[in-house]
Amino acid sequence: MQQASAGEFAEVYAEHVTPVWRYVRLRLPSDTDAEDVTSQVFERAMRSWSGYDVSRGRVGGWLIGIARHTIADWWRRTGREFPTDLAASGLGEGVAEDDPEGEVLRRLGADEVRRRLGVLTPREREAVALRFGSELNSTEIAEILGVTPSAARMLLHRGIGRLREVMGDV
Amino acid sequence: MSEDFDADALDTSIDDVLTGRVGSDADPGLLWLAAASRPTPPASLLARIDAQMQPAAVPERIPARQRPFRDDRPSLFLSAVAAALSFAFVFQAMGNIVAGDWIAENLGEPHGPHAYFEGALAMTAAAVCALAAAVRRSWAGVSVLSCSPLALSLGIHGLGEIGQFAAGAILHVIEGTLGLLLIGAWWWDRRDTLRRAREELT
Repeated sequence: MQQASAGEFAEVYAEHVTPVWRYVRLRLPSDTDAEDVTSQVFERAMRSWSGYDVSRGRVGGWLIGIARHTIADWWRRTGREFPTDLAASGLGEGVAEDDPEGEVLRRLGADEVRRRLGVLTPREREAVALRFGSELNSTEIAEILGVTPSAARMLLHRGIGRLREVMGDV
Repeated sequence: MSEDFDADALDTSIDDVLTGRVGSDADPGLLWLAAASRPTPPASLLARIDAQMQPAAVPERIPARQRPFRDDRPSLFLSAVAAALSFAFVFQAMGNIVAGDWIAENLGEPHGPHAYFEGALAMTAAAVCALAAAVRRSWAGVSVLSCSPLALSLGIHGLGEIGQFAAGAILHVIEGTLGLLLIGAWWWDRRDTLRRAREELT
């Protein structure tokens, strides 16, 4: 196993903090939450850095993997604290009932992009967040989501198509 | 098949938008999505993570032999107890060698010069171990482990000599007491060291 040296982490952080934060931000309702979670992502990454095996893939993908777990933990911990009244949203029609993240984003998203992303299915939302937030290509997204690159492109296509429907001009 | 083609074309368009290779006919929806998804991170986030990235607040552990001597100097109490116990062991060892027959006579047992001499050598070795705690704090644990059980055993054994051989009883009780004091002094010294280390961190 080829292990990463501790000194390299500063460079990794400098290169990846922005895409990681942008991805996290698109998955959480507020900037404050995104800041907290991004900070936790790098804290976890720092703790695990000595065990990171550079031969097992790109460091960006590794960080996004940590971010996905941290976001899932955040929603598990915090998701039930949000009210679940879809009627107040005005955007509730046609959405999956088992998607609390989407519901909260639609109702409480701090900006328009997050409120609109709330109408997507969880997979579409994740694909769009990875593509536009982290600026990963469809092959990298496919690796993270465990699908083929073609399926990742299809998720993006459908997601953006749905965004165009709810936005009208998007 | 057509949807696949559209998806591939959209992917190329997204690439163009994200890399800034767009003309006047660029898709406004993608331009909006790219701009809305990619704000600049707040300075507070960067400062927060920068603070996390500072070297850990816990000082690096330095092996005892590399520490400056003054950092490893035991307390005066620990040094005094360790030196006293060492002296008591040496005193017993010398007594075995030079006054073995007198000791045997007082105990009412036959004198065995060979056993007394080898016992004296063992007591001298124990005295060296005890003295180590007077030199370096980091050695005190070894002194406690090796000498306190011996000293306490001698102290208990010495109680049986009361009324039979007063000098031996006194020496052994002193050794036992010093063995107990050595444990106490070591614990006290260690507690102060840990507390000081914690205070230096805050």
